Amino acid sequence: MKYIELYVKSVGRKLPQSMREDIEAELRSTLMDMLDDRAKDTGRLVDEELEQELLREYGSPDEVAAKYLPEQQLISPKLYPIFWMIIKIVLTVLAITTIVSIGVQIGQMGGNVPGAATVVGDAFLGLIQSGIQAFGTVVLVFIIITRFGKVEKDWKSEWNPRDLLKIRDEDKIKPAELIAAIIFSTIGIVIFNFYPDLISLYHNVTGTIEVYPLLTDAFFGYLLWLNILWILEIIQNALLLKDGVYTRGSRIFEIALNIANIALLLVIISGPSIVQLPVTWMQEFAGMSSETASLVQNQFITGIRTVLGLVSAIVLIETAVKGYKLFRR
Amino acid sequence: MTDKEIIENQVLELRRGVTTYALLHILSSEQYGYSLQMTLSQLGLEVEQGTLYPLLRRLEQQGLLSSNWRVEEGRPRRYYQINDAGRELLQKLVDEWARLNAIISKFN
Repeated sequence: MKYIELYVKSVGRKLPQSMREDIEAELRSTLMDMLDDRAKDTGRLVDEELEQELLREYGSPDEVAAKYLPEQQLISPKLYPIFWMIIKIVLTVLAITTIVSIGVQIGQMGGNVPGAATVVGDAFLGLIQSGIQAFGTVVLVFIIITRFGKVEKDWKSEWNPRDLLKIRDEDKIKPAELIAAIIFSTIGIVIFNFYPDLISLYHNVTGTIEVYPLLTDAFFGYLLWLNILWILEIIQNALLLKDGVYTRGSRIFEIALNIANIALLLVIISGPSIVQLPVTWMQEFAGMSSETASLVQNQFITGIRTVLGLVSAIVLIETAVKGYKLFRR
Repeated sequence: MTDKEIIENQVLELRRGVTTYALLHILSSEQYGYSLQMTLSQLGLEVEQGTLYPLLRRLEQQGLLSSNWRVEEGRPRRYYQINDAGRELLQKLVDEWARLNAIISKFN
């Protein structure tokens, strides 16, 4: 019974520990019964050849083990169309950003051909790496939605065709706006995480382009929180595209996300500046004195803070209106 | 998927429901897996072993069958038998089968 024992163990290895012992015992007993019957029916002796013949007919261990396991889905089929749309957006944005980044870096080299080839090679490798990373992140997010989100609606709950009349115009989604929002959030994630140097001032100095980063270290301190909010926004917009209409739940999620955005903006405004106008750039290329450069720098930072403050105020008003409407309904 | 595979899949789908119906009927008396397959085969309902055991397991997990291990002819065997919940389901299946049969017979 050498082959039967090996076969049973092989099937068992492909099963969860909790059911393994039981299935192995039943399989072993059945195969032995089958082997005895086969020997009787054919008038042959029970030998390794007969064992092999039986096992071949019974099916491969993979096939047999698979039949005991429930079908599991990492990502709900209901989310597939949205999942692939997000994947396409993310990979397209990555590819375009990589091409722009290559252009900028080659521009900085001023005709250095071997250097340019290295830049293209490195960028290609970087694209593969960031592509895999981005793909993995999207897959992970959709696994979490499938596992913990309420993807399957309670279809059995009472449904009334009159409910269709209750869908107000303001609850209807605008797919183009949502897709655009997903694209912009993705661009934000890709540029600030993979190509932050693109947010810089460039100056051509005798054929070579000098780069002066506009983002400060303080910005990168907030990047984790910005990433979380952008990913949540992508999830929110993806789920809205799937549902096709705003619900009470999605409105509450939207308001909560807006409040989180305002809170982060207020923290950013009150902390050290997240952007700067490089003083050396202003002195060397705009011909400013150090005092003037410093003054312009301060005005620039104040300007940025004012803009962020205005954005916070607009989002706050918008959120308050949405909250009031939701409360009234 | 070829035309032949499509037809085979449809036939398989039809047989799948009938297999549960037949199993519950036969398991009014206690049987172990292999003897159950032999009974099904004698009735003309061939079910692959690889399909039969996972199905028995599912029905037991759903609380429709009970099972116990016994050693017979020097070999441990798992005996299955329908329980109260299984009998309740079987009665519903019998009624539904009669209803469907009456409908299907109108086509012929």
